[in-house]
Amino acid sequence: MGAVVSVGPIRGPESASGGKLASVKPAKLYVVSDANDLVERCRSGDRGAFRELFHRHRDDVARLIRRLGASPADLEDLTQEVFLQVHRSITQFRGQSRLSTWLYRLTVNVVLMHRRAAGSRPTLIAAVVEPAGGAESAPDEQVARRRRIAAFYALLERLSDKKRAVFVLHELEGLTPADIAMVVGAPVLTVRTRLFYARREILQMMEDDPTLSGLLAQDIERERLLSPSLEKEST
Amino acid sequence: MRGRSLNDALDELIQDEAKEGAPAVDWPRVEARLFDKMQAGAQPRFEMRRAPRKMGIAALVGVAAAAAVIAVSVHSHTPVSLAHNVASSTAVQTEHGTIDGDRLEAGESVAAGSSELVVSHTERASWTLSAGSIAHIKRGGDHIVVVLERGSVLASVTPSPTPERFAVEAGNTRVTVHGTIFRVTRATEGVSVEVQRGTVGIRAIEGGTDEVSLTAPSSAHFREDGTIDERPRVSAPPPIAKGAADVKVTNKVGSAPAPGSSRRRPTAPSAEVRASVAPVIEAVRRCFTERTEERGDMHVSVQTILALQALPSGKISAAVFQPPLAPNVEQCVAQRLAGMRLPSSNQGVQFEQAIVLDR
Repeated sequence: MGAVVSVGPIRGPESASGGKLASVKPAKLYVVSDANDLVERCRSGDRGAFRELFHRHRDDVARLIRRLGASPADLEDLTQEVFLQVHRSITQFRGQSRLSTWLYRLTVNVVLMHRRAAGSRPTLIAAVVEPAGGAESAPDEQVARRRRIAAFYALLERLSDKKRAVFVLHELEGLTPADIAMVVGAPVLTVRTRLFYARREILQMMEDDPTLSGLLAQDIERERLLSPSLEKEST
Repeated sequence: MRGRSLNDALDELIQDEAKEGAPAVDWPRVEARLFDKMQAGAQPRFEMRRAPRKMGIAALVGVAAAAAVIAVSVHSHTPVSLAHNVASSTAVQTEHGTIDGDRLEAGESVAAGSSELVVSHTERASWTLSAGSIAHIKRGGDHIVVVLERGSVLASVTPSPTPERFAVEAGNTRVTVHGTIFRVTRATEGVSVEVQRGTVGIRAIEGGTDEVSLTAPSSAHFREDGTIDERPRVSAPPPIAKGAADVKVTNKVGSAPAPGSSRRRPTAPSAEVRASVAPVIEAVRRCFTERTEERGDMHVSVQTILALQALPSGKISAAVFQPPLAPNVEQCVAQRLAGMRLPSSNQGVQFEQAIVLDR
């Protein structure tokens, strides 16, 4: 979830002498404001500001929800639930943390609550959700990659909720352990420990998973065929 | 996976995943539904109501250590203004009986329907409302304060060195938990406190300066103004209600097993052993004094039982406090005991002594 900016019109240009150019229609200039301005507007009940916040963050929220193990069927409901939570509690956001950190926290909580409520954890995410953007790779490579990602999600699914959350936040979302600690409300040391064990468990699962081993082996073979020069160099 | 390590393969998987775009979502539909719900003032899956702001005047301050499970009950004195809450209580039961406490804001209420309702604050505490109970959040964040309006609540607090991380208020009584297990019951007149594990300190917020310490297993009754009207009495600890997370904390020095269970009473050591252990007790007292923060005029008194185990060489292999002391105090004790030795003996030493620590 990158930096939040909002735009809004500012006053028109002024002459070099400081006098207003009355004959000139104010240009449509915009000033980039930071997340605080957007939050402040949301807190004041500005629905347009909230819509802007939704537009800016919805993709990131949806991606995190998916990465945390929500099924495609639940994706829309959970995204909606996250933003409802944002709307309800935006007045409580005092800026002690970054807006993005706060959003991460809300999203993680919503997904974890949903999973707990669901009772039984799904055993496998059957298919990777189609990406919105077009891939530049060749179709067969896309298929292979999506199969690997599906297998990867299946591995993540086998982690405990806590380990999956820190692994996703660190490895996929790029958060530092200190930021993750704020998101999940745990000490940094605990986060680091969970990261260590999450990665170790995934590596172990990869070693034991014949499907994933086969996919990766195919991948290696394809790379070898596509790059004969590299093969020669290596020999 | 020839020619490359699993680590490399995992990193490539992560890179593959990162190349995926955002999931395909029908955003116009989601946006329309979202704003419809916002327009309708949609409630979350559990009911939240604004709660009355008036709070009580009596305080119960826990001064023991690490993990905590408390149970608070209100049997009567339900304010008339809350009568409507009872009627609506069945409507607020969540689908699976668990809600996220982090989503609750100060002033919002939670009511259990026909079964228990668990509220969980990530990594900090969870509390269980019994059927028909109502509570509201007085304060969120790092120092959670739950006000029990009706019924009973059983809370489990994650060990933390942060003082007063979790509190329950019931009527005119406030219970601040640091680490122990105790039950507070709102009776027809006043409040009953029953300590199931550990030690709590009890005092009035206003008008009272003397603090009363209760060490498990014991109980006492307090008047509406927070003053005690019945001396502490030893009692058998009641069973923890179903659903409670009984967090047992045993801090050890060294790796030897705990020399005594929590239910064992102190033994009567010989004068010789008592003399040899005196430096240990003194070290505990010093740590308690040095590491317990001053709180104005408040007098802090903690009772605990030290179970000590030493090898034949005299090396202290285990020291267990029941109830546990604050983590920073126990850390201090561990450091000091690491450099201490008791007189050597043929069979080593196993020793228990009740200690009262004052600050």
